[in-house]
Amino acid sequence: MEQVVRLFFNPELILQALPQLLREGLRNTLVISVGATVIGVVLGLGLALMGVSRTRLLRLPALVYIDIFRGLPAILTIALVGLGLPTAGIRPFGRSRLAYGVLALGLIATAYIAEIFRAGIQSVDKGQMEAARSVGMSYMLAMRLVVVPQGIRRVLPPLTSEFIAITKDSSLLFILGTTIGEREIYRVGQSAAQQTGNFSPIVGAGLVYLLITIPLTRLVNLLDRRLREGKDVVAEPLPSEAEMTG
Amino acid sequence: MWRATGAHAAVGGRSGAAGSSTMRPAPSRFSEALGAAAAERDTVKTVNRTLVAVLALLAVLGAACGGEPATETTTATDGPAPTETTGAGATEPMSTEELGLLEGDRLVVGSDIAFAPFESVQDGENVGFDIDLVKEISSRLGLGEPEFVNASFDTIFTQLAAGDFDMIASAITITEERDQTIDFSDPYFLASQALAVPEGSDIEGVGDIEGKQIAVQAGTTGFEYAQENFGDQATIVEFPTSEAAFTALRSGQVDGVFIDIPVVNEQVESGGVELAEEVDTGEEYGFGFQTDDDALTDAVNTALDEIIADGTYEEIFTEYFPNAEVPEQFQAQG
Repeated sequence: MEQVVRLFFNPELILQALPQLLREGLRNTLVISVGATVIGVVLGLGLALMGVSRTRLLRLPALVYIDIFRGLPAILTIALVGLGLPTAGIRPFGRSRLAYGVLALGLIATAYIAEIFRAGIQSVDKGQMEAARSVGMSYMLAMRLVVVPQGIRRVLPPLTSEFIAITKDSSLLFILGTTIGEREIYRVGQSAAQQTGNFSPIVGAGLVYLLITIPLTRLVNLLDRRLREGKDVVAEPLPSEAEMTG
Repeated sequence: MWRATGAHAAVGGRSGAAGSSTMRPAPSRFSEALGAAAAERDTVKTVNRTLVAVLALLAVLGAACGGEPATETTTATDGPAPTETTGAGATEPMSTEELGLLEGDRLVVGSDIAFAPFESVQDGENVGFDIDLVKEISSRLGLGEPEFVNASFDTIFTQLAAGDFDMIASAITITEERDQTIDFSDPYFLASQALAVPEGSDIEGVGDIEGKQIAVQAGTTGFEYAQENFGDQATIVEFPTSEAAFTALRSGQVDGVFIDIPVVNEQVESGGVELAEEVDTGEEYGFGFQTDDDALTDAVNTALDEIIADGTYEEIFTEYFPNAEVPEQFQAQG
């Protein structure tokens, strides 16, 4: 037991690792996750629209893409994008490992987010589309003005969950190689663990992840509740006793 | 060589290639070992094993976050048949109980099995110089087939200290720093570092790396050396495994790899890579043991002496390094 505390939960070593974890790790992790999420939302929405299209020609590529990128382990996709593309001579980002990593995570996120959007769009009552078409809107216009706006509100909770998942997956970019300065949270913890011969800095890295993910998880729950129950159902606070007597 | 940095602990692990024959879920293996170690230490059998297991599980999950398997258990199933020594120098095999092994009659050996030619998985089998040497040692001690547990170099020293393995054999350079936290066997291999570059590169040695990107394996002594000696001229890029570093080299993402010379030679043979310069760092590999495990450390040293003295070392060495000469200290005597 003592050994476990010493090797994994050594407070001194955790504190010692924290500044670097926050300064370098947290920043890079956020840059990676936000970047990947932006790619995922943009491409994912496009893919979702293809997926619900009535044209097979559009549906099929979307289906194949989603199947492949959801079905592969993230670490494999990262290696394929980060090492495979440059090997094939495709070098949109020169040698920036971080950029390839963000692209890889973004492509993976695209598949998941496409599914989230598809579910959101399909959850909008059919009558909405029918009504919009009946007043003379085109399919695309009805999608843009009526269906998608309603669908998107409903997908905010799962989207936030996806962001959390991406944040955690960002630790996998290590396989592409890292230099001092471009390490994300987990890698910073790992380096410190190597230097100290103790696992505690990695546990410290875990704490920093929780710093991001717990508030977000709360946010998901809040959004979820709001969507189900409507806005601000909280009653006005009762006047306090002081106010009443005062 | 490699693995390195610091004290014992951790190095950027090489992710284990999977092909293992028998696998046990990591958490149970880990907690089992931890639990056993804890119980032994306290002699209080009422140690809260559940708590230990939960903490261990947390730790394993933490490691798993890195995307690398925390531990994979692989049982070696083949390799050279154990050779019994009858030589004059042979010592009485120790009673296996005296060794206090985790599993009684066989060694549980931690290794980052992605470092050819020392340890790698080929066709589902663990192969390599370290693997064969440990098997030989194991048979000299009268033990069964050793169990090789594929562990990330990041955590291998911590896991040893936590009582997860009887020993670690992973091309580990003996360093003073590490020696403070674990015990080493006598040296069993001499190695230096080397700079590998793509074929046709204009880098001819470590003097030409100004402004270049040089890959290293995280936590290795090669990483430390590179950081210290050319960290200010070149960009040092850390990779979790030697394999990842060489893939990056072949894909043109880095200009060179600085790593143990036997690994460079192995890669040169696979093609596309050439040796630019050898840097004599005079490193020695040793097996690692828990600090209080003198019985096993001594037994392994004795077996190692025998293996060297009767020429078995040379046989294994020649199998993996056919073009190299056996260093004098490892040649058979008489």
